[in-house]
Amino acid sequence: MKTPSPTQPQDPLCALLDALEHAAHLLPAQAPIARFVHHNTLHAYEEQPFEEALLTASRDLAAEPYLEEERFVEALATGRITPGDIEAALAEVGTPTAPLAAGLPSLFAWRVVRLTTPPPALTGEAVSWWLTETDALGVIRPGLSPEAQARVDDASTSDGPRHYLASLWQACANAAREQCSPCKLTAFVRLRDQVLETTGRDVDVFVNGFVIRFLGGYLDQGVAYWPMPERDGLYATFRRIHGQSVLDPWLDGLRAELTEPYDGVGRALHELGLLGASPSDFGAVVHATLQALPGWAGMVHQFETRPDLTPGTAPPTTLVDYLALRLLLDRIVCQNVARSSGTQLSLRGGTARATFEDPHAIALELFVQAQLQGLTPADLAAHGRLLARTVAEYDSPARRATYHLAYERHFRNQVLDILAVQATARIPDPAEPLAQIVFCIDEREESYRRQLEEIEPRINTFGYAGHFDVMMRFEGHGAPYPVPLCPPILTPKHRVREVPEGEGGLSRRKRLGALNHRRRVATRTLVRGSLMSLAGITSAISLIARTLFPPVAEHVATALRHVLAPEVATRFELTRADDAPAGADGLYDGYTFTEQANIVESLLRGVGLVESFSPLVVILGHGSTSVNNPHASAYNCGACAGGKGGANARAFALMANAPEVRRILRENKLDVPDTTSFIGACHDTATDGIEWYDVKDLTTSARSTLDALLPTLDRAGALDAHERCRRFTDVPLGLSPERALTFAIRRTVDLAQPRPEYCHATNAVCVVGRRSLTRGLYLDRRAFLVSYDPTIDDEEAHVLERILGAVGPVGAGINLEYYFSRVDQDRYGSGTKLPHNITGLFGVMDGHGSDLRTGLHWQTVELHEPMRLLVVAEATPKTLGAIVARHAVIRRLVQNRWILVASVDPLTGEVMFLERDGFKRHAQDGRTIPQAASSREHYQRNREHLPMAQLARAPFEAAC
Amino acid sequence: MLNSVVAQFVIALVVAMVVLPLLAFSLVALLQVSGRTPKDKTLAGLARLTFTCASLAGLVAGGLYVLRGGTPLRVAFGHWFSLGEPDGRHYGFDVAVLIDGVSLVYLSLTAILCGTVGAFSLRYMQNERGAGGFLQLLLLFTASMSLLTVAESLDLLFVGWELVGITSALLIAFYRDRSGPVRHGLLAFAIYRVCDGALLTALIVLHHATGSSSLPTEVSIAGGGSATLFGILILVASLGKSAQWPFSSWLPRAMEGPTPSSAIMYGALSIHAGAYLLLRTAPLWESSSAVRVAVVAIGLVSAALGSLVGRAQTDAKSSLAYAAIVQVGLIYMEIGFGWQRLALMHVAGHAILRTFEFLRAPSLIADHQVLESQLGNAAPRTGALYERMLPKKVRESLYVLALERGYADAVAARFFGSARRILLAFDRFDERTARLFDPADVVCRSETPPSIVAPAKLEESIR
Repeated sequence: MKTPSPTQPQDPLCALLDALEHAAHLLPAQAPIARFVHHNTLHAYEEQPFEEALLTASRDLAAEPYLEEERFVEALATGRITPGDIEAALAEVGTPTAPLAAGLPSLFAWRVVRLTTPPPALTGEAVSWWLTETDALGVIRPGLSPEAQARVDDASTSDGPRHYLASLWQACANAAREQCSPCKLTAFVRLRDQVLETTGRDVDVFVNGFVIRFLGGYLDQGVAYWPMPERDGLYATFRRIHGQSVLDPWLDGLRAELTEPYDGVGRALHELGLLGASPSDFGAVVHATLQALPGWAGMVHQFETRPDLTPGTAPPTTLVDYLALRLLLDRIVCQNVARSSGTQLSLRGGTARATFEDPHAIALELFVQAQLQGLTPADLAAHGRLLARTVAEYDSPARRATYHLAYERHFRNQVLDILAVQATARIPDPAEPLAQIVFCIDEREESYRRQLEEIEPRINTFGYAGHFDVMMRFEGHGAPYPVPLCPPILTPKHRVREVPEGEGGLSRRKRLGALNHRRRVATRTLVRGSLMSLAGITSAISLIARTLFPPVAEHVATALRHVLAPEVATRFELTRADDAPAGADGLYDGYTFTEQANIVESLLRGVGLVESFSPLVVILGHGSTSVNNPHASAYNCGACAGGKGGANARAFALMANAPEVRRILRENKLDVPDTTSFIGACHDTATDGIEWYDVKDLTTSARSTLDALLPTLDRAGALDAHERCRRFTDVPLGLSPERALTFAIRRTVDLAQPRPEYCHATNAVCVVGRRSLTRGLYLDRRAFLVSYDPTIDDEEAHVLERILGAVGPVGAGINLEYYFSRVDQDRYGSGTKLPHNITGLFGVMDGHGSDLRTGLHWQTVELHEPMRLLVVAEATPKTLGAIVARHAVIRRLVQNRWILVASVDPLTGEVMFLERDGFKRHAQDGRTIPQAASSREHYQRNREHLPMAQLARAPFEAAC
Repeated sequence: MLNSVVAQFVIALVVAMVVLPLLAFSLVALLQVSGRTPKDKTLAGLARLTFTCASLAGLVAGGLYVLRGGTPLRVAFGHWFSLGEPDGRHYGFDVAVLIDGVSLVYLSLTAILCGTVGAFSLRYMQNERGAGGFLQLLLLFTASMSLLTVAESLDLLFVGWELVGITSALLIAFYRDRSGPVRHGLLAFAIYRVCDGALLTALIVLHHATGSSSLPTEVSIAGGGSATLFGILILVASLGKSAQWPFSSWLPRAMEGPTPSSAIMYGALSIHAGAYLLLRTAPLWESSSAVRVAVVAIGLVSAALGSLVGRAQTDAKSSLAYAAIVQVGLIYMEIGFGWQRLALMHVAGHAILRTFEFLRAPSLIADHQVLESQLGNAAPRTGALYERMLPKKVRESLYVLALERGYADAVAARFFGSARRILLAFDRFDERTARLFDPADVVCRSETPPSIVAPAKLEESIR
């Protein structure tokens, strides 16, 4: 975080606004939860290299930078990381190989031993326990190299190693004691820290509760029956509401303060002045104060900057107002607590907390290392300081950084190995495809595509971002408000309306809605609630059905819905005249034919579908079904801002079928034959069903193709469900695909199911290239698959640039959100979802009155292996290098290594990986490529992550 | 003949409902103590079996009891211990069950709700850290709730009552790595203890007045004074579990555990336990109009205040918590008026309705979206009534009152603040006198850096 330089005397107001802006960047940037969009949790740090950013953020936000060290040690034990990976990782960061001093090992050797044979993870008094209660002082550690063993034997006396070990420990303890600095002072930034230190009472417990109640009321979007009256500014309302009657002893004096005529900014400056903060200190105070409740402060910031994303109407909200009332409350409560405990409170900081470094852990590590390296007490006596410093410098974050590199490297080698082999022996596309299906690039579609191609190799599949370039603001039939169906960084310029054919049963729906509303309100009121309660025994039926027989209950509910509010046929208002102006809100009502043709052309050329069209081209968006799940929107299409991508697919198919559009395409030398029809559909990634749109408008020949295709798609859906089910520990292994499908569907209607699907939990790779590079490969649902044909791209690869510019940030956003939510569930993720409690319709708290929880919950990340996204593009290193150099967004991600990049040469198939110092050829080093007859054979009876494998080629080749 | 066989069968089923979950709980606890903690899967299987059997037993018992014509059953299984002379002043702890309409309604509710919520939890808690412990507590809760409802004497009821309290506090503090749940679990526990004190006193009063602690089903009272005293004590005892005024503030704070525990405790069973205590002991205090007025008054205040406070709540579970307080307040009023059947119907309907609402609490956003899509509009604004009826100033005061939950915490903080100051003064006095006698005895709070102490074993080997 940048703070204004202290040499410049600064205007306090500017300093405050600056400090707020910086602090706001570090708050969670999550919109209200129904608009969940995956984004890099540490987006604010993207200007820094990945490793550096992790460490800075872990200091700023008190968060973990990497996976827990125990997990890495476990990975070492299971072979997920090998000693070879660790050596390569150490070499990658340039660990010196020269001896630390005469007679000592090199830093490289020291660290290899440290990481591959870790000492017991003990600190403080536990170390004394370890020495006294185990045979640590009686037996040499196992795992010594022969040379080390020889040296230790020399040092040992005839009666065994006891004497050697005892004096070694003494030497280590001495060295550790010298290394540890005696005392470290941390200044208090907030008054609360001072009060906590002097009285042992945490004022945040009280202030947080009070602030949460107020903010909950102020920001509420429709939970409370009685909303907060007249919300006209956060601080102004606070003054009015709490300025009249305050009974709490901790708030004595608040009323008098609130009568002073400050506004939010004035109050914040006044409070900062009382704290004696000079403008250059504002940054630290503001940051620390907002971080007392980062989730709520972040939501306040969202209401301020993106009021369009709130589910209802957003009251006027500013972060500075929040800061003002928080600073005021902090001070008042601290003063009252200090007074009641009879301690002094110095507003202007002053005291600091003293902490002591613990020498035990360093001594222990030194003791174990010395044995493994074959060092003698004499060595320790001579170089104790140096060695203790070596140990202290390589602390847990530093060690985990190395483990992390090894962890990524192991996986990367596997991926690049198999792509290198496949690149020289591709499985070409089918000669006369039965159908062509354009999927979203989502890695959840990988298994569906693969299973589909395995049972019907004559189907050709493509991957494109799930908005299919139709970046619209969509007004669905019966939807209360329009939703943007495009990546969140864009603002749509076009509006598309869905209108019913005929009356559309709107009045009936409205009546049903009014009834529904009355029922919902009634159970919480006094008189109506008592009548409902007296009749409540009837809800025993729903309770029993929903908890014991969820599928049956859902069938009945669906049938009822069909009777009460039947689905009606709708159509899209998609086309506008060339000269139609934009509406008052700056949006165009639909697209002109030229715009439509551009969209269609850009997709077709992007995926490389420019010839040999099949009779039917399916555009397949995706969404996900679940119940009782406040996080539902996180399961939908990331490219559609957490919406379902079906509407985009439907709109695209309508465009591509329009004769006008076909004519313009032909003028642009893209000939889509008249015998080819497009159809839009939506794949449900949780139930594996497909919803089709505008089937009745298909030509008869297209219709018969579709009818012939449906059983194959159903079968692929069942197989996909079967493959997914292996990850659910409550679904038995060895089911038939049909049974597995019923299990999968059951999860989506079960109120008690916290894991309707695993969402993006397995994302790790992104392959940009022709399908022939990945066709017939088992990629274990870990790869985003983006279609791109380098042979039809121009010299500068502008198509690739466009694809990477879109896929890079989106893929990295998903990947990094999973990364951070997994490595720190408390600060970056939202913990287990089981106690989550919906607040104000915009967020969830943990149980009662906690901070708003942002990021992903444990149930979606528990399977995740936190690694940076590996983007493999089919292009020469030169082309890729040029794109990275000229595209600012990509450059930032690639150069700072937030994503890793590899290239596959389109002609030679050579695989290169972008190391820190440029592209290097990927060496296979004699590793073998796993082979499997079919996906099912490869994954069955296995719940873990699987190595990527080559499937039997014969069926695919037969279709060519 | 047939009737007595059926009666014995009913008794056996009812006992099974207490004993089966208790056995399952004890079995797992014993295994854990002996270091052979069963796998979560095994435990889930055991829990599934137990919940199914216990629920079926409860429901069949309920059905048979109704078919039998509904005469109360009272069966003694012998007594645990007794003190004093059998003829003169003595105390005996009898183990006996009493089954009548009131207990049957509660028993059937326990069967239905523990069965469904148990099944729900088995899926919901899959792979959750501590899931085994959660299921164990749910089993213990089922047993203790069943015991509470079939106890023949106030003594035995007290055992079930305490177990319900402790499982409830432990389930609130289920996520014990965070401070909030632990604090709120302790708060609930503290309030329970205060009320339990009243229950224990009531027990003594009852024993003194009637010579036994059996619970009658017919109006039977000894003397106006002890009926009033007993009734008031019972009322105070019931307020904690039922979260009635002035002990309401813990209930919204109890929503810390996983959703099903909130559902079964605070939507359904535990919160109606206070009402059960009143219903069960009604024959003992009904003759006192003072008690009846007090019960009605407490119910009225709780319902009115709960209704006001609940309207301003902005999170799903607090809003449901206050809605539950309101209905239980009404149930208190019904009990106070002597409308027992109505109260029982109200309890049954409310428990089931609220449980289902709690289980569906995470659906709030989806429900809202469905509603708005049906209406084709934003949901209509509610609460306009206050704005029309009340002047602005009153409205705002009332709103703060609602937002700050009737100032329950503020009043408590003032009260405990004074208490704390007195205790601190004692502390300081103690410290000063200690210094007077032995200046070295005063604890020195300054920290010293940790140092590595060579363990004894090390000294040995060096020597």
